[in-house]
Amino acid sequence: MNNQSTPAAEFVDVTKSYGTLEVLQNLSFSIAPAERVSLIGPSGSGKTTILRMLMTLEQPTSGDIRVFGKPLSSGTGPRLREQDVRAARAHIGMVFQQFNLFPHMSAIGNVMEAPMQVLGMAKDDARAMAQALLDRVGLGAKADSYPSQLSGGQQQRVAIARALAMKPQIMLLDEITSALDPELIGEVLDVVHSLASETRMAMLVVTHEMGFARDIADRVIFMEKGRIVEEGLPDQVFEDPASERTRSFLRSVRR
Amino acid sequence: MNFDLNSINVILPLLLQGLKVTVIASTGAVIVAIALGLLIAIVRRSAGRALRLAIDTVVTVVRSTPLLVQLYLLFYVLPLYGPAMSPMTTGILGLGIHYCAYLSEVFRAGIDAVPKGQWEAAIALQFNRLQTWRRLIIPQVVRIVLPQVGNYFISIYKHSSLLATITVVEILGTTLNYAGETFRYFEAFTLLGIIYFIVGFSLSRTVGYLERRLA
Ligand SMILES: Nc1ncnc2c1ncn2[C@@H]1O[C@H](COP(=O)(O)OP(=O)(O)O)[C@@H](O)[C@H]1O
Ligand SMILES: [Mg+2]
Repeated sequence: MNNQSTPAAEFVDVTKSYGTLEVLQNLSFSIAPAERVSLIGPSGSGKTTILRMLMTLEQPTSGDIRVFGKPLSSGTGPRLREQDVRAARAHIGMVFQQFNLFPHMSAIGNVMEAPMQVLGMAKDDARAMAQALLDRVGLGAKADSYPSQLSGGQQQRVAIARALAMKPQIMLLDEITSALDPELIGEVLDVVHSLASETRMAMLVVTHEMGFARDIADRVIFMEKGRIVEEGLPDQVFEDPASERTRSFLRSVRR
Repeated sequence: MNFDLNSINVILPLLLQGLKVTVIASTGAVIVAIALGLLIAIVRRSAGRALRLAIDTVVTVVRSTPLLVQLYLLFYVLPLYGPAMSPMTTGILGLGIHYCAYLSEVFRAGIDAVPKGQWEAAIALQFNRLQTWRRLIIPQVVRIVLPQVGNYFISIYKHSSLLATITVVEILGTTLNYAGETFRYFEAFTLLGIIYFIVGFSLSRTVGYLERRLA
């Protein structure tokens, strides 16, 4: 990677513990602007925790997290100012495993809400943008449906449009197809693929869909027990992993 | 004793006038109870240990003492040390404070029933705390607690009859005044019961309807 450009996101010696359980140990890695990184590894290896710390839903126990060079969280340093954290966080968007749509708002209402409330966008502009985003995820005709009237795959696509509406430069996707019936997984992954080809967002993708992890990524990171075991180009990690642990993990998920 | 049908012509307009006062007092009280109850539930969530203990103590005291005693304290004792308020204002505040203690618990449970993922989505979309409460959490809490709040409104409506004891001329006060002057207790209280029932029954049907619709 180019050392001159500032990373989009950077973990420096980050440790995360819950009580005595050390979930992430001295983790350091970075993501370049527009880079797509797949995070794979067995359940409990700390993948979700990484994404949640980037979204400031969890705080590191020690170490620093930076977004475009600006501090987002500091486990040991001085307490950061709320407005600085908010400014750093504004670059980041997230799509959750459980969608987390707002049940009292229609699909288009879900997408319009943050631009209007947070960015102060005028209602007509927000509606036009939201409609365009729903069109883009293939749900233009469902704009007025409520989440409870949509299938899981449709809900997740609304959630993607909602996250996009805030124009994040880093998109976090945490097992976004794990709560879906198998026949609905494809439509969601297709949307993510087209986003990847049409935008320059950095993406950090946690998934159990190994084909997707491989296709979407510029780089794959394999984690186990809170540590990065190996990282590299998708073809290299999937075809010729350096570590025996990666090899056995890939064997177990391919069965 | 015979029921004097002709007296209905006199009593009914009087009672409807009293009913108006009852409705105003109940509505005012439920607004006070909702506002205070919601405030307590929200403040309590982010309060430190000391403030939380203070809030819980007050709520417990209010819940464990009779409404009638609270009304007397507000009406006869408070003016000795503070501002004198009209009977109506005292009544609305008294009822509202009494019921806010119950509604704060209802709201607390309602807030806890909003999934954690909603708060996390709010952070991921850069909402601040106020926006999160106002646009995301409270609208969902309202849907969750509406039937319970409706039932408490019916309680408030029935208990507003206690305001007669602090000289508010609501529907019971009107009835007592009329019956005291004319000795037509039979007619007056029969009619009073019927009106209380019609309004109370309609309210509970409305709450039941809301409950079914929101389920
Ligand atoms: N809030 C929490 N309290 C205690 N332990 C947690 C908490 N969140 C996650 N963990 C633990 O942290 C470890 C890593 O979890 P997670 O990041 O969700 O892993 P993954 O996403 O790779 O499956 C697991 O052992 C999990 O049980
Ligand atoms: Mg996970």
